[in-house]
Amino acid sequence: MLGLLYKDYIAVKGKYFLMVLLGQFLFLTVIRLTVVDEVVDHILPPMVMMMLCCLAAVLPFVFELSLMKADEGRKQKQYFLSLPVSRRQYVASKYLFLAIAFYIIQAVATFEFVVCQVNMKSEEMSASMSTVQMLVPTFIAICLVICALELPFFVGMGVKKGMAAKESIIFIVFFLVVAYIMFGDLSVVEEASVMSLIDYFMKHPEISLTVQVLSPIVSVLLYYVSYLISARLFEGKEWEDE
Amino acid sequence: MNKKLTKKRLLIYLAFSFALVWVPMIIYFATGGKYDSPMMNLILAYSMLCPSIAVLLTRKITKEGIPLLGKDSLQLGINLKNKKWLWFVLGFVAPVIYWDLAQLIFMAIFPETYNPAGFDVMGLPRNALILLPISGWTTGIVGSIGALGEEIGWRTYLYPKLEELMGPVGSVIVGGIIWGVWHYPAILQGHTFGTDYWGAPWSGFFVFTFSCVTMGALLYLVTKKTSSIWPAAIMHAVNNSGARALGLCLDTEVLTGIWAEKPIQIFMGDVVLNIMGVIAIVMLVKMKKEEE
Repeated sequence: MLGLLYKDYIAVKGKYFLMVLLGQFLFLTVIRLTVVDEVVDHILPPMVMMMLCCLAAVLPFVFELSLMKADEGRKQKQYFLSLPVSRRQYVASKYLFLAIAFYIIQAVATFEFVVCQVNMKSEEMSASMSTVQMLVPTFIAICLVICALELPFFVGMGVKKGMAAKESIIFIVFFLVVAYIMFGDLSVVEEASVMSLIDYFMKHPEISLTVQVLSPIVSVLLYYVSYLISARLFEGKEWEDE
Repeated sequence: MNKKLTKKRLLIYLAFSFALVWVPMIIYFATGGKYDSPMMNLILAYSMLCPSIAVLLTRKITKEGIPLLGKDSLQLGINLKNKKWLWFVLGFVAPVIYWDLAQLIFMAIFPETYNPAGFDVMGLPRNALILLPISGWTTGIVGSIGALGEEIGWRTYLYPKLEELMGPVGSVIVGGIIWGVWHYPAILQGHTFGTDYWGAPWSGFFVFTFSCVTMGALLYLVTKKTSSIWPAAIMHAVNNSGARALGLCLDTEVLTGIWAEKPIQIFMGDVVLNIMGVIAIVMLVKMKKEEE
């Protein structure tokens, strides 16, 4: 299993991802510890949120595909037969790899929040940083759900068909968005920004607590169910003789 | 078993884990740093990673290698078979059980400490309060990296090495004392107890060390039972996140005399944890006998 995880780490060029993750952490740390300024206080909460969310989004939109593509060769049947693990364990390694990647992002985020509170003069910004601290795990949970929804397609149907299914879903979502733009209430969208989202959750503690509590639980449950489905699909998969 | 080598490795590990934490903390306080500040939060967060850093450095220096899975490793694997999942569940629920049960006992002895108005402090509707212990679980897990950092150091390196030298009981007692002493610079500045209490700082040192011994026993037991560091990391994280429902309606301000003192209150708050710790020690001894 460790070998499979290491293989995936190489396949997705995990070293570069870790360098970017640690690089942005160091960048924020240096800024926070060296510049004591209210402007920085105001910039930090949305900036931290954007940076971490972008990094979390890499997982469902880049890593997932790279992971699956890496094993798609012409002699798949022989490849899987040569592995010293069962098909179920193979699928588990993919899920575990992504779960570890999410955990690492969350771990770095945990420290980033503590660093960003240092030297923060404005109490209001300190409070908005705490809200970001709640929103980032929620966004990570959403990315985990996206992975949970997509992985069974990739595992069960292969990369090509999986991509086709994914594109179809994106296409449907795109049409729904266009329909909303044409017929929906756009005033909601006009006022939307990262700061307005942060403000909304600051004003509604009960909603923020519910989201904070339920999003990790629901996402982990969905992820586990997704694993069970993928494992079953992969166990039943047959390859044509090559 | 080479006891001399084990002792040498232990000393190197302890030197690293204490120096990495004590030196920056002492410098911070010596230069006028306050305990109740964001900078101190940063130092505390960093401190929690130091036992792991110390393990990695020690293993590198003493050429032990850094295995991730199996015996004498960082024990990062997860195996839920053979009812091991029960110990993971215990990792989640034990802190809620020992805190809330102890608070119930506290309220039974001192009924005047029950104050439901405390629930309103957070500005939440009453029906949202059920989410509080669950919130402790999720925030604990989400931010579990700090607890993992400590647990890798203490429970996968210090305790097993001490067990080699002095058996399970000795390892839990000496390990717990070392773990407690490691916190002393922070306690001296107000960690857990504040600074203005009866017998400060010695009573605080004693109570904290005692709970480190019992909690360490419980954490070491779940680590040994599962051969994984994760349930201990989860339990530690949930413990630190304050996953308790009754805590908000416990008003200790109304107490007077010796009962108003923080170390006494915390000792009473730890009563169920201490009982569970003693049970854990008994189980560890039994496990050792079975192994032999």
